[in-house]
Amino acid sequence: MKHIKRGFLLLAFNSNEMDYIKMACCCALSIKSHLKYNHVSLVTDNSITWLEKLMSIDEIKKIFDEIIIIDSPKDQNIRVHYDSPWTKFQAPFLNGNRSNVYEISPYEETILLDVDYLVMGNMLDLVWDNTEDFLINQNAVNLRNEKFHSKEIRLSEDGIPMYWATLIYFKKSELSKLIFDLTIFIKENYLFYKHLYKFPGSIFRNDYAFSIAMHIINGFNEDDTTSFPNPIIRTMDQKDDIVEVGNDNILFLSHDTKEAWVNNLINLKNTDVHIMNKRAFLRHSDELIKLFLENRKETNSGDE
Amino acid sequence: MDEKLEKALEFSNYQNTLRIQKENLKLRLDHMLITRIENVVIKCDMELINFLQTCIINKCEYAIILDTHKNPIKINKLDVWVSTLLNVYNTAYNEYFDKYEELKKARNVKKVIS
Repeated sequence: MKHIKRGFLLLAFNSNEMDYIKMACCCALSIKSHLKYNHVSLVTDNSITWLEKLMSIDEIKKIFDEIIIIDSPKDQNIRVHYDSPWTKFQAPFLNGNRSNVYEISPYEETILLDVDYLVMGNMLDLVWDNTEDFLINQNAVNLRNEKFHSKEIRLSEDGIPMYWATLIYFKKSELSKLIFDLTIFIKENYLFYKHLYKFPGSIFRNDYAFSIAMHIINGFNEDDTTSFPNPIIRTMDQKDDIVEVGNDNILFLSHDTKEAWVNNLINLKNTDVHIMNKRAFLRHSDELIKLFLENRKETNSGDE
Repeated sequence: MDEKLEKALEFSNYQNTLRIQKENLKLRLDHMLITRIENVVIKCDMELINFLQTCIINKCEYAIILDTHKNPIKINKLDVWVSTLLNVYNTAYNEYFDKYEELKKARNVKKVIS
């Protein structure tokens, strides 16, 4: 099978609580309005029927270049979410298929993105044709440029560094296949690795699976040379909110992690951001789709 | 609330917002300084520009530098590199300077985040 040269892969599986397909539309269009290489594939299940109800085929074609239908992930994790420090709720999260993307991806070079990641600048254009086969970031900061809580830095107090599976680049290569196969093995033996690496919680986390895989692949050493050109993922906390959105900027209301009532307005311009408050994201999704559609560039996958 | 305390808290909020926006400008600068030349992704800085210019002055035929993954890279077209890096450096720092000046003049939260 001939692969497309380079592109983005988004996985979205809707639940009753969360409209991941709509987030994927925003994410895909943010790619299309900010990046030169902007071929986007959506991987989904029967959630596609929801998308077909939301918009016409012509509109869908403006957002996704390929749609790959797979079976729904079997594992359904219930996760606690926040919408501001004062609203807490639970929602199912279908994240079980991430390790399988190596086989699914139609690209020679793939950037795998969480659908709640918005591309607001052109940094990801620097990633393609990389000297490395696999890239994943270790560092994330919140909107106030503060390091995340300790459990998001290391898997346990004296544990290995945590890598963020939010953003992964890989080439179709032996090394990439090895890493993805290893994460599948770790997922299948999650309880064993939970005890071995002493990380908290029982819910499957892709971040943990990839962190363990990276640790093993690097010869059981800590290594930070496999980061993206921008090695830090800027992350909006679940307790922060979005005030208004533009094509290149988002105005956030960020809360102080120690004193939740202390808020600051933060305007991020031309900076990619991981939006953890999903309800806030969805509140602004229609506006984002409209804005990004207006600024959408022609699809380019780097193929001649 | 006491008026003096209210004013102090308002100023505190302004200072905090200003500090975060200044840090954001620095992060934006860091992003703008990362560039790709001849398929090498590199962080542009004064040290690199000066080193390459020194190589040119000393008639070196090539130079070895490290890319963002700390891999050694051999550079042959030194003049092309210096000229591109200078352009990247000036573009990034000019924007940083202009935005920083705007922030310095912003006397309330609304102007800081505009």
